[in-house]
Amino acid sequence: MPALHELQAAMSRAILTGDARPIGRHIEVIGADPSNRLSIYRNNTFVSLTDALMATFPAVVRIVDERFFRYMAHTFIAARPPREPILSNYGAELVSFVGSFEPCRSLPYLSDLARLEWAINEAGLESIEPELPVAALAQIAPDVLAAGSVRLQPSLRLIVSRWPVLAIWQANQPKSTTEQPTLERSATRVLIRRKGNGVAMDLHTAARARLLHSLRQGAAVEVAMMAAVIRDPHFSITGELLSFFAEDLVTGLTAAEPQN
Amino acid sequence: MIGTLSVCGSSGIGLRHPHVGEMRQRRPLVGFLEVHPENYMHTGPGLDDLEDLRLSYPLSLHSVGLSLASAEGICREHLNKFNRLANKLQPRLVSAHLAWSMSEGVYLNDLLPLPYNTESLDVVASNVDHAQQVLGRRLLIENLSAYLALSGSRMTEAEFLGELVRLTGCGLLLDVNNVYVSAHNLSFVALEYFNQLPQGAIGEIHLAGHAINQTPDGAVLIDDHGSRVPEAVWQLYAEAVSRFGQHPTLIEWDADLPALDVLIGEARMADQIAAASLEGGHHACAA
Repeated sequence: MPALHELQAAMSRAILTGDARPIGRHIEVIGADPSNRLSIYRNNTFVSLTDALMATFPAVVRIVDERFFRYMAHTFIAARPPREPILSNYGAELVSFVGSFEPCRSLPYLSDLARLEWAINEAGLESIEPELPVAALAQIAPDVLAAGSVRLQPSLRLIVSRWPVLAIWQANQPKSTTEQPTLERSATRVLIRRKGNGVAMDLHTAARARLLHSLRQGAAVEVAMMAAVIRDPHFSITGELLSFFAEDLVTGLTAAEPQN
Repeated sequence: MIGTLSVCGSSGIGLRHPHVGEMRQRRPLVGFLEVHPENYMHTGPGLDDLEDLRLSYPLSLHSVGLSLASAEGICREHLNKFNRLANKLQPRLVSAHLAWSMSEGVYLNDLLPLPYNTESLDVVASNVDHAQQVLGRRLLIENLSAYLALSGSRMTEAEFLGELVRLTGCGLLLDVNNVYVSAHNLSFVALEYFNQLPQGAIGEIHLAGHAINQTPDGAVLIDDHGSRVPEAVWQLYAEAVSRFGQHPTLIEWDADLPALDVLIGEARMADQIAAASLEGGHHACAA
């Protein structure tokens, strides 16, 4: 008789691979084939995890259709099963999986669409922090602000794609009346954030996306500004910063530590 | 007293996402609400809804991911998240399953069976101890629905649960539908299972519907929580109430979720059946 951890490891592998042989002799059922009974557990695992993935990636499901998605999800689950019990955290790796899944090769934008849906999932699970009023800017000296950092809403996510990924997403919503966009390469930057009980998404210029990205990474304001201006010399830093306040994106300002 | 509800004779329902808006709006009379903590471990809008509903209803947290029978121990991080949530929501009841879902770091999202022997008892008792210490609460442990048994058992599941109660001081969540399903699938007698359960340990009862799958080996009952409680399970529930007294009873429904009123109707039915069962005996309300 194997030790409990060996038995559990063998049963876990049998569920993921569908090969019941290593565990079959440890299964006792009166009048039934052990592998048939084991397949009930295998089915529970794959169906419930596929359902969880379908809930997270609905636009991908619509594009490839449910039958194909279930087939792809099955391959994915067997290769990359969850590592924790919170199912809303499961599926991050599907983004790269879709990108390398041979049957999806004819849909080069699919991986970016999955990345967008994963960002929507993540943003929707974050809290909304109290926004900082714009008056806070007046309390901080410009040079201190320049060397300091800006804290943004934790739900903020940024997706950069070579494809019109937001338009593709919009065309694949359940009640969408918009047509599938022409699939020509066009650089797209989508900002995603939680708003109320849902998420809001906007398209952004390269400079604005760069600024937000740098700030989100914790860069000093002046460093983030430089990164943005390189992409657009006419970029209005003050205007952008004020617009972040107007959109309730800013939750804190941190002055730089005084240098000795 | 920890582990019991003050509401007597008013059954509860499992709160599922499509019903949340209607629950918040109507606030219908139900004894308590039960949720899976795994669905509320983020700070998203779901938690706001629950914080609002707990102003109107006692809450029960019913873990599906604790994996108390894992030989490799329970995930510390998950337990800590569970504890933070329990501290925030102050549930009246906290429960988990006599099952495992994790092995070698992989989570299978199902409640898997174990052999019942001294080795597995040590494992589960140690995990339950650990969980109760971190949570600072008495856990109710639920009997699982099974489709197969594993070799190496030296006692029955009910005897195992009795030992677990003795060793850890945990309580039991008696899932009557699971007893019915397992008894059919594993060829044992449900009433004998009841006979072997420890007296005084039950703190909650679960009821649900199951599916019947016809296979070449005969019918297999699948615990799918996808229909009304069938007559045979109601009968077993009446028997459980007459033996163990009335306890907070929950209607679980996950697949093919019906209108909220259907769920509430099932909860009222549980109240009526428990009341009728008690009229035949002399059990006091457990709360």
